Parts: sequence; structure tokens; C-alpha cells
Amino acid sequence: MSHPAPPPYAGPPSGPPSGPQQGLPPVGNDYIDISQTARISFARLVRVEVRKSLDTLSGFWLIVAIAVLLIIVDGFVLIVGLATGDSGFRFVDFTVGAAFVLQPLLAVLLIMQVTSEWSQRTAVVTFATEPRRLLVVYAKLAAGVMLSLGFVVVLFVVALACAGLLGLTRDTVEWSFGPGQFFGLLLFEMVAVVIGFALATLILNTPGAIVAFFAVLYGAPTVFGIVGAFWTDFQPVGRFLNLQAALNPAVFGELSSGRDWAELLVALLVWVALPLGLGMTRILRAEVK
Amino acid sequence: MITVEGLTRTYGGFTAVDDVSFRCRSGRVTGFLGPNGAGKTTTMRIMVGLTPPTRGHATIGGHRYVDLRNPGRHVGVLLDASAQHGGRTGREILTIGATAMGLPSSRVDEMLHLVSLTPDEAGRRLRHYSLGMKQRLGIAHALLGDPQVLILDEPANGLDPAGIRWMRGLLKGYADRGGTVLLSSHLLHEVEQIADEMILIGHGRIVAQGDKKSLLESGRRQKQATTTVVSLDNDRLASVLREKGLTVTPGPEALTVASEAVEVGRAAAEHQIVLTDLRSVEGGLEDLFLELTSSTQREQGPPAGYRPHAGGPPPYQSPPQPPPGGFPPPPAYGGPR
Repeated sequence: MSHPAPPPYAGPPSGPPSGPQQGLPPVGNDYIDISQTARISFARLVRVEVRKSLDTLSGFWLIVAIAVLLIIVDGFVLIVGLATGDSGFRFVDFTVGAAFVLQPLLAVLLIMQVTSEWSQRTAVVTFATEPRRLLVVYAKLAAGVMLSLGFVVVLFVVALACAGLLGLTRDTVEWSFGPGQFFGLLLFEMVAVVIGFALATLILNTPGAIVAFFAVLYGAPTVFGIVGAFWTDFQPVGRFLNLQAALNPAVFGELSSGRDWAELLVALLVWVALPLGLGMTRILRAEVK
Repeated sequence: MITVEGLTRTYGGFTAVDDVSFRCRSGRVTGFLGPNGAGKTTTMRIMVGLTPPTRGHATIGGHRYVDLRNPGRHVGVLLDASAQHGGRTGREILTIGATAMGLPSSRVDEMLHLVSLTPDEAGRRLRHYSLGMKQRLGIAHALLGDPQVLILDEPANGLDPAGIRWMRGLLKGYADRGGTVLLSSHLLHEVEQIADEMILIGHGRIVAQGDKKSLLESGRRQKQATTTVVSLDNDRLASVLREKGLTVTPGPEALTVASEAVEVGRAAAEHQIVLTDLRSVEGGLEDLFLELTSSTQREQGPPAGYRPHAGGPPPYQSPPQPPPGGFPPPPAYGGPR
């Protein structure tokens, strides 16, 4: 690596030519007047976090991969529909199929956004720039939710395109799609986003958080199912802890009974609120290395 | 500008920082000097709120770091030049910093220019950077917000000699403008030439602090004065000095006398012995540094005869020193640079 010889030192760094007035206090003045300094706004922190999740190679490719996977899943449903000549296809089949694929990927996206600060040790710079750590972490969550909403839009665009293509050859596609189904799908995705985020703040390690996420969403239901099979008294309890099962009515837009809601809320409390609270406490107290 | 009071940080039974107090004044460069693992980094991390202290507190410009609004505009921090995402380009890293601090993007180009990173280098991803380039980028990041205070941990690490000289000029100019600089190093000669004041830390404790001159004087006071002398008649001089009750160790060319040089000179004058060389042995700051931190050095008890010029004449030919008695300027570290 060859540097050009550094230029002769041409004076101390000067303040920005544009922008607010800055400048050093007179020599001997050992107090910094911060009254004129504006705090970093939350919106700016969110903007920075969105940028940070897009500007690395890994972040970029993860986002490309998610979009490609959505197309592959709905494309597969489309091909099956075209090939079999089956007439019973609904628009919901396209959205739900993609939703199940999108769910863990969004969680991974959020997890990486949080844990890469620790694995790449950028947290040192991030928290030196904005020492109000909770604010930074909330900005990360907001940025992740915004990106996830973007992917939900992509999901619907892909589903519409594929269902439309199928509709060109078959006029039997069932298009009905109500607000309940839309918000159910949104809830389904956002819960995963928040769980991924919560586990990431708690574990602060990429592989660990991803494993924990799959354990909560896919491992725990299996375990509870097995326990319930041998110990019938456990079954009602297990239903309240099985997040994926509790989310199922939501994704199909069938979240209606009070029992469904109760199961979902309890599962959210256990798997989202609890790790989030512990994770935030951990980040607040952690020594940033 | 920076006030650290009674700072202590323990990890279980291990005390990384032990009751550390010091001040850094504006317009001055303060060197924070100590062997590896002495507690420099921990102290600096506590100052910027990344590590919670067990006891004590640190303020910058009268505020706790966490209370500074938009701290990047007041305090430039470089703790670890490698603590950046390897997949980001240098320019992107500065752009993120500038965006967060609310600075115009022109500031990024200014800083890249200031630290001599070419547009081509700025467009490379950090994982392809050499340590020296990372340090330059880190310094650019610290200076982004045009802060009044700079806190730099081992900034010269990985810089080539030209780069170290460049940084010296940069920091000196910054301090001359009224800025406050605290920089740490485990290498004395990196700090010696730019630091107006020095804080020597070993084993988590401050062992000495002050400007270079007062540090040397305090070191001299603690130590038995030693003088080497060469005359046209060494044997006679030796016996004369011994008559005065001084301890004389004859060497192949010179005599080593355990006293101030003025005593030797007076004795020679009284007996009209012609002196060809008379100098007081001073190890300079490096001896002092090693001495003060020796009880805390990792390399305890180096093999006999190896310890670099601790006591006795230095093994290398140090530059001639002015005769003692007046105001001898503290000799600069005379070893090979």
C-alpha cells in the first residue's frame, strides 16, 4: 500500500465552510457551552440506521436475496397453478406462502442490524456519537420496521403479479382479500421482526440470536407439542406459549375469538416483551467493546 | 477541559483503573503514557461513557459525556481504528458519522483531504485498509465535527514515520488553536515530542504527571546522581575523588563517579587535572518511564545485563550534554530514532 507523502501540514482543521457556526473557545476557557448545540433528532438516527443496513455488502445481498426468494416462492405457486390446471387458487395462497418465507428473513435482517454492531464492534463509534443508547436502539427498531414494511409492499407486488399471471389463463382465481387478512399478515411479519430484534438485543451475537429465533418460532411449538402429547394437562398452557400457532389465525385473517387474542397476547408477552425488556437492560448496562 | 476524579474500575477482583485523577487543559497536548494493560484504554472508555466506572467520575468541558448534546460536535473520539464495519468504504463511514452529527457532506471530503486519503482509497472497503489507513480514517472521523476536545487512544499505532510526523503537526496545530488533546501511547518517543504534559500510568495507577521538565526533575531527585568523567590523568583524578569520600568506578576510558558533575569538576580544578569529558548521566524520560512503571511491567526481571541503560552509562553514545549547574534543558531521548 503506498501513500502519497502527506502534504505539509496546512494549518489546523477548519470548521465546515457551510453549516452552523462553530469554533473553539478561547484558550483557558475550560467550559464547553452546549446550550447552542441541538440534540441529534430521532428521525436523523433512523435515517442513519436505514443507511447502515443497506450500505454493506452483506446487508445489500441479504435484501436482494429476500426479494429473489419472494419471487421464487410465488413463482413456484404460479408454476404449480399453471401446470396442474387446478382451479382452486386464491390470492391468499400467494400472500400467505410468501409471508411464511418472509417472516424468518425479516427477523434475520433485524438481528444482523443489531448484532453486527457488536460483531463488527461499530457500537464503540455508534454509542460515542450518540450516548443515549436506548434512543439508538429504538432507531434501529424503527429502521427495521420501515424496511420490513417495504418488503411487505414487495410481497404484495409479487403476489399480485403472479396471481395476475395465473388469472390470465384461469379465470377461477379467488381474489377476495379483506383488511383483516392484510393486517393479519402485517401483524404476522411485524411480530417476527420484533422478536428477532428483542432476541438480538438480549443475545448480541448473530448466530446465537438466529438460533434463538428459530427455537422460539419453530422449536418451542414442537417441544410443547411433544410435552402436551404425554401430559395432557399441559396442553392448554402450551397453547398460550406457542407463538407460531397463536399467529396462525392472524396470517389467514381469522383472528376473531377472544381465546385467539388471549393466546396471542400471552405468547407476545412471553416471547417479545420479556426478552425486549431484558435486552434493553443489557444494552444499557453493557460495556461497549 | 477534561477532569477525571477518583476514577476506579474493577473487574471482579482485578482493578483495571485505580483511583485515577487528572486534568487536561485546553490549548495543550496531554500524553497518557503507560505500558500495555496499564489502564489507559479503560480510562478513556470511561471518559466517553462506553464503560461505566465503579467509582469516580469524568467530565469534559464541565459535562458528563452522556450529557453532551451531539457529543461528536464537541469531543472527537478515536478509541479503536479497527472498530468499524469491514464492509463499508472509508467514505461511507465518514458519511454516516457526518449524517448522524448533522454535518454537510462537504465535510467528509474536507476530512478525507486532511488525512490524505485519496478518493480511490476512500472508495475501498475498510477490510482492505492497512492499519495506518484505518488510523487516518479514525482521525478524520474524530475531527469531523470540529470538536474542542480530542481523545485518541494509540493514534500513532500503525502509522509510518512520515505519518507519525504528520499527526504530530496536526495535533500540535490543533492544540495551538486552543483545542484540548489527550492521546495515549505505550511508546514514549511518540508522545515525548508533542505532549506538553504527561501522565504516566502503570497498573491502573498514576505514577507521575506533569510537564516534561518537572517529571525529569522529580526523577532526578529520587535517583543518586551519577557522573562520568575522562581526564588526562584518570588515576590521579580517581584517588583525588576517593579522598573526598566519593565512590569511583574506573572504566576502560572513563571514571564513573557517584556524585554531581560539579563536585567532580571542582575537585579536578583544585588539583589542576585537565578534564576532556565531563557529563552527568541522565537516562532522560525513558529511564524514568521504565523506572516508574517497572514494578508494573509485564517483563519483570529481565535477564541481567539486558535492561537497557538503567543506571550506569548508557550503552549508546548520547549527545554531549551541557554542563550541569545552570538550567540544563532536559535532554531529549538520545537513542536511535
